[in-house]
Amino acid sequence: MTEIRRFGHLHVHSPFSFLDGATRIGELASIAASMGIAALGLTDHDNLSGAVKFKEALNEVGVKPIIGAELTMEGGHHLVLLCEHRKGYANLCKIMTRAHLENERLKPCARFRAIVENSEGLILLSGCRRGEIAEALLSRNWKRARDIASMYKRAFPGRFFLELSEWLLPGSRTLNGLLWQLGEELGIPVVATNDVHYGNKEDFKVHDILTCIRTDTRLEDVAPERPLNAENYLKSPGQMERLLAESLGRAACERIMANTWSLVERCSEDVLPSALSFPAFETGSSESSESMLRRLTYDGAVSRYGKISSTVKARIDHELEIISKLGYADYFLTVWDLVKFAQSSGIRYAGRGSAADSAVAYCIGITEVDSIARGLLFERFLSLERAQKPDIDIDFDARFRDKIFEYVRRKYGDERVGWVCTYNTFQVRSAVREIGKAIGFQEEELDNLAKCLPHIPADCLEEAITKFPELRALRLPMDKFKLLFEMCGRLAGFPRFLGTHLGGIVLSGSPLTDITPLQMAAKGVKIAQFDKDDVEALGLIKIDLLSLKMLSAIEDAVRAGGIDYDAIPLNDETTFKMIREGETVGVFQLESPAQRALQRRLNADHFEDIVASVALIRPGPVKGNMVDPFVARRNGREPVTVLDPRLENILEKTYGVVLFQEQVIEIATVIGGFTPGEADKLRRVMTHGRSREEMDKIGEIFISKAIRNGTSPEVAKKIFECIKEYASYGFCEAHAAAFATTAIKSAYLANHYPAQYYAALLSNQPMGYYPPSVLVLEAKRRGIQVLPPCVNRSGLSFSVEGVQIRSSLMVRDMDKAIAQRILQERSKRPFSSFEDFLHRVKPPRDAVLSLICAGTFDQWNTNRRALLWKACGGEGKDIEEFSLGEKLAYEYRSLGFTISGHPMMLWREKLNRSGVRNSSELGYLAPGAAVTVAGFPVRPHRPPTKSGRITTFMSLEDEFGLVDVTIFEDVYQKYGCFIFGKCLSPLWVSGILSKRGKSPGLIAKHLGPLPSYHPARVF
Amino acid sequence: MSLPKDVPIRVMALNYDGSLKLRAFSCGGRWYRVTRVLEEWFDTGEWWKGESEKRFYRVEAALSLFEVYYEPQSKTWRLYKVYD
Repeated sequence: MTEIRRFGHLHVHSPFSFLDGATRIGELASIAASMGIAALGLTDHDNLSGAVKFKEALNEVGVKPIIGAELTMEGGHHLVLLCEHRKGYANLCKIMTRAHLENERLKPCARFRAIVENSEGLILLSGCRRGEIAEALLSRNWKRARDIASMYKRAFPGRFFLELSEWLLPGSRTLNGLLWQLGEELGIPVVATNDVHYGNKEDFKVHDILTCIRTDTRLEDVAPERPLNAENYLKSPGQMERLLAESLGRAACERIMANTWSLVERCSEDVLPSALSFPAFETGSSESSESMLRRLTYDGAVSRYGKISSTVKARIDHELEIISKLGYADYFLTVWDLVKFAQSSGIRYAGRGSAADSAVAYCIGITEVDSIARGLLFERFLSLERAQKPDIDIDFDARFRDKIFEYVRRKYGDERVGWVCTYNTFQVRSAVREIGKAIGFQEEELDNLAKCLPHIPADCLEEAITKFPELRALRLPMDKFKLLFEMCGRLAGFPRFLGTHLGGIVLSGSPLTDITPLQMAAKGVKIAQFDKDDVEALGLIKIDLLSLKMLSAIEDAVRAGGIDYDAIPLNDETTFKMIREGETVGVFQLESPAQRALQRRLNADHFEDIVASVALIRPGPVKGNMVDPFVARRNGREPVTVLDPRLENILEKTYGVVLFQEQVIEIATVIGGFTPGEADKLRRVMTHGRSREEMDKIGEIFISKAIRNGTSPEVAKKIFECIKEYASYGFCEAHAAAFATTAIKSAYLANHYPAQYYAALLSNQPMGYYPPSVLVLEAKRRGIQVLPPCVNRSGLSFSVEGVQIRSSLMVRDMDKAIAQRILQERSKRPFSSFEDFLHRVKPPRDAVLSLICAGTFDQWNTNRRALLWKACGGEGKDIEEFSLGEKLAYEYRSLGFTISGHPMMLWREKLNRSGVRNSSELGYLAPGAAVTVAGFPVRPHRPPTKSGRITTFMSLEDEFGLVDVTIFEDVYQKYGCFIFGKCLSPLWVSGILSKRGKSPGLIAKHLGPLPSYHPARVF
Repeated sequence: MSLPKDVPIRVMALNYDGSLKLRAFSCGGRWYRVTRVLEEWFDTGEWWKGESEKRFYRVEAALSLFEVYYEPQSKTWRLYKVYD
C-alpha cells in the first residue's frame, strides 16, 4: 500500500480547463493515489465545470479534493483562489459569474475589487508564471512585485500565499529565489505547487497539441504559450521536495512543504452544495404547497376520471405521499404553473418521459398518459429508495419554447433561473480537423477524411480506417497519420467547450450564483457551468423545456384545417390501415424505413401496437433481435409463453416479451420481492453497462430473493437471464405511450388532411427523418401537388391552395425581413410584373436569383434564364431557356426540392432501355426476383447489430417514391465508398427483391454510381 | 572567448539522488571547473520528430558564463552558448 505523504498539489488543471488540461480527472485521481499524494486542488481556468466529477473521483480513491479556480485577471494575469469552506465556494461562483457576464463572451476577466468584495472563505495564491507577482519579478521589477504582494496580503489577511514551483525552465531558479526573498521580507508564507496540466510526463504531448489548438498554431510554429518542457505533471511529494531543496536549500524547502500541508488541512473537502434548492411555490394564500398540489390533483382527477374510484384514490395518495416526503410538491406546482401558462397562451405542449408514469402529473395536466389505466409504475419516475431528483420533460411547440422560458425567468427572477450546460466533447470529426490542423496537415487532406468518417468514438479511428470501405478507399499513408490517430484516441471525449442543453433549465431557491457560476452561451442565454448530472448533484432540479418541431407542424396543420386536435380519435380505422401499409413518411416516430417495414408486418390495429412500435425500433431491441419474435407473437405465429404464471399479467400487453423498463421493475417486485423503489434501483444498476462480475453479483441477489419469494431456483435463474438481456435497452413505457399519442394523431392528420399536414411539415424544416424532397414526393404520391412560390400568393410558410401546396417565399438566401417587405408591399396592391417587384421591394440580388430559380415569377415569364439576366442588369432578350436538367438543379438549390419534375427523369429513358425498374413497379414483382433500381440515396445508416457485422439500410428516391434497400456486410465492403463517400451521386442497385409482409425491399448484391449527367451534379 | 559552439564536450558530473551535479567540462582542449550552477532547465525540443528532451545548465566557470546541455538520445554533452 502506498504511503500517504503530507503533501497536496494545490494547483491542478483538469480537461475542464478547455484545451489546457491533458489528463482525465479519473486518471489524475489514480495517479495521485498511487503516489501517496494526500490532496489535489482543482484550479481550472475561469470555471468550476469539473468540480463535481473531481470530488467524486478523488473521494473514490481516498484523495482529498480541494476546489478552486485559476482566474484570468485584467491584463491577462492569473490568480488562484481556493475554497476554504462552503461560503468560499459561493463567493467563487459569484466572482466567476461577474468575470464572465461583465465581459465579452468567452473572454472572462475578473476584477480584483470583485474578488475582495467576495473574499470570505477564499484563499488566494499568487498564481503561475503568468501571475502578476511572478511577471514583475521576471521583469526585475522588485518594487512592483513587493507592492502587489503587499496589496494581496492586505486584501486577504492570513489567507494569501506565494506559489513557488520548480518548472525547470530558464530563469526558474532565479524566480524562486526572488519569491522566497519576497515572502521572507513581507511575512507571506510560501507554498509549493507545480501548475499541473497533465498527470504523467508523457501526457505533455497531448498538452502541447491542445495548446496548439488553443493558440491556433502548428507544432512547427513557435508560440510563447507552448511550454518549453514537460515538467507540469503530477510530481510525487519526493520529487517536489528534492527539486525545492536543490533550488532553495533544505531549510527553505522544509518550511515550504510545511506551509503547503497546513493549507491542505485548512481547506475543507466539502465545499460543494448538495442540499435541495428549489424555489417555494407561491400558492397565493396561506395554503401549503403540499395541500395545494393535493387539491389540484383531486380536482384534476375529477375531470379526468369523473368519479374517483378507490384505486385512483389509493394511487394518488401513494404518489402524493412520496412527493411530499421527498419535498417535491413545489417542483410539481412549478411545472403545473408553466403548462398552465402554455395552455392559456395557446402554446401546444406534451409531457413525455418517465413523468408520464405519474398519475399526479396526469391529473394536473402535465402529461396526457393515464398511468393508472395503463398500470404504469410511479416508482420508475420517483421513489423513496432511489431518492433521485425528478426530471419532468415537456415538449413545446418549437416556436414558443423560449417564451415559456421567459415566463419562468420573469416569474422567479433572473438570479434564480438558468440553463443547464452540456459538456461538448471532441468527437471524431472535430478531433480529426482540429488535431490534424495542429499537427500541420493540409485542410483538404483533413476534409477528405472527416467527410467520410462514420459516427464512431474518436479512439476507434485507427481501427475504422481498415474496417470501413469508404475509409479504405482513401488509401491513407498510415505513417503520416499515425500521430493524428494516436492523439485522436487520447483526446476522445475530452471536453471541448460548454454548450447549452437542448431544453434543461434549473430554478433555484437561493440565488443560482451561490451554487454555480453562470456564463453566456452562444445563443445569448445564461448557462450554469454544470451539466444535467452535475446540477443534480449540487441540489438543483432540472426541468426540460424541449422544443419539438412536430408540435409546431401539428399546430400549423390543425389551424389550417380547422381541426380540433383533442378530438382526433386514437382508433381511426383508415388511419390504422394507412399505418399497416407503411405509408407513414412524415408521421411522428413512425416514418423511418425500419418503422415502415415494421408496420407492414405488425398489423397494428390499436393504440398499444403503436406504443410497442415506438419502443421496438431502437438500437437495443433491434440489436437484441427482439423485433421478429415480437411480431410473430403479436400475429399469433408463435405461442405467447411466460416463465412463471405470475408474469402473465405483467407481460400480457407485450405478448410475453420484456419490452419496457416498467416491466423489469414489476418482475423484480413480483418475483424477487423487491419494493418498487428497490426494483427500480436494480434496473438502473443493470442498465448502466456493468461488468460481468457486477452483473453476476446482482444476479445472485435477485435469484436468492426470488427463491425466498417462492420461485424455483431454475426459473429464478431463467427470469434473471431474461431481464438481464433486456434491462440494458428496455424503453420507458410511459414515454412510449406519450409519443404514441402524438404519432397516431400525426398519422391521422397525414391521412385525412394531407395538404395541410405536408405543408406544415415543409414549413417547419429541418425536422423529422426525411429531407424536404422526400416529403414533396410523398405529398405528390398522395395526390397533392407542390406549387412553386408565387410573389403574389406565397407567404412566409407553405400554404394550402385547394388540394395543392403553395411553396413559401423563404427560399435560399431569403431573409425573413425581406419576405415581410414583400408581403407588406403586396398588401398595398399586387405586383404587376417582375420589374414592379424589383422597383417596390428592392431585394438583395442573391435573394432575387433564388426566387427566380424557384419559379416565383413564372406567372410573368417562364424563361428563368432571361429573368436572371434582367436581375443582373441585362436586357434578357433572345436568351435560351434553361434545359430541364438545369431548371431542376436550380430549383433544388433554391428550394431543397424540385417542382418541374424529378431529377431521376433525366436518366429514366436510358434506365428503361437498360431494364432498370422504378420504385412503383416493385410491388407487382414476385419476391426473389432479380431487379435493378436507381435513385438518390436517402439517409444511409448502419445501426448496431448483435453480431457486430455491418448492415446498411438506405432508401433510394426516384420520381415515383422510395425503395428501401438493405446492404449486408459483404456487399457493403465492396461498394461502401459509393454509399458513404465524400461525393454522393445517384446510384443504381442490383439485387433480390424481398417482401416482408406487404413491404417490397431490395437486398443489394451490386451497386454503383449512375453515369454522370452534368446538371445533376448540383444534387 | 572563441570556443566552438554546439560541439561535443567532455563533462565531469556526479549523479546524486537522481539529479546530475555538474562539476567540470572540457572544451577546446581546456578543462573548466564549474564554480556555480545558476540555472538548470529542460527543453523537449521537436518531440513530434522523435527528438528527446535536452537538459540545459547555465554555469559559471573561469569567470565566464556558459550554457551546456546533455542530449540523452546520443548520450552526449554539448556546449551551447558562451557569454563573454
